[in-house]
Amino acid sequence: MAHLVMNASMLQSIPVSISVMNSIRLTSAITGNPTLASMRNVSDSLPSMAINVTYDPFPLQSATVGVGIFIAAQTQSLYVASGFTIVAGMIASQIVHERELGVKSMQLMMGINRVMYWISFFIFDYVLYLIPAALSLGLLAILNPSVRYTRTVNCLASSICTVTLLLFRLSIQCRHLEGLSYP
Amino acid sequence: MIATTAVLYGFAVIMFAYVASFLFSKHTTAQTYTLLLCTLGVTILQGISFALSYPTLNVAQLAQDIFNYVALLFPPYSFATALTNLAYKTQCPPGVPEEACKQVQYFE
Repeated sequence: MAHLVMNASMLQSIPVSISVMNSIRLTSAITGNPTLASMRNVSDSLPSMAINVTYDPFPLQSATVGVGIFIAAQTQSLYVASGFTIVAGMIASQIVHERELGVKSMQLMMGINRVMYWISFFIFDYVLYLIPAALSLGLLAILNPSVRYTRTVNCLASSICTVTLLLFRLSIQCRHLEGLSYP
Repeated sequence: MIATTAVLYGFAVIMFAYVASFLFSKHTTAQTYTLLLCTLGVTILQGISFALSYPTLNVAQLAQDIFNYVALLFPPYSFATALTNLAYKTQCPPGVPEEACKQVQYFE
């Protein structure tokens, strides 16, 4: 029995591997039948042989596993952070909208303290932020234990976080509904 | 820890949005560009951070630290970085030797 150890990461080695396997097969045939060289019909005299292919890769190196975890962590965090960035756009839009309508100027003319104006805005925005944030974190807490380091970790983590992102975006869009309460 | 990060992120991003709102005079523009700035910003900064920490580039640790601390002023990036650190520290899978997960420290 002959063993061939090939490096699967080098695709260029496939022709060489095939050539080596053929050489092994031929050598085995010649060794098993010394009169092979003098025979005219070679295929009739070859002993029955089979090439058994077994796949037994070397275990992943520590550095490879570490890099995999690092990339998976970065992918997940990027997706989640991208989802949370929607908050900034919504809040900035609301502030500018009040300024556009002159509501801010009107309130300042009515004597409201500037500090109180911003604090009230902050409390309002922060409470509105906490609701979808809590829902998103709850979803992550439910789904994240299923994420384990496998070959599909990136795909799985991306899917889960994409769902989270989409649901978070949907929940933020619900803020538009408050506009319906005003005539 | 993630909940704490999210709570603190709320403070940071709301303040950031207030500051950013002074750059715009139309609310639609404000929403679009602030959202774009945050989304692209966090993606680009995360990419640069990853590239700088890649071992084969041999970027000096001081340069990485300077970039990291400057970029941390951007709330979405700081949130993403916090989540990254939390994720890889809690995602060392069962069956993988602990030293394998510690290899990640090399990329920091």
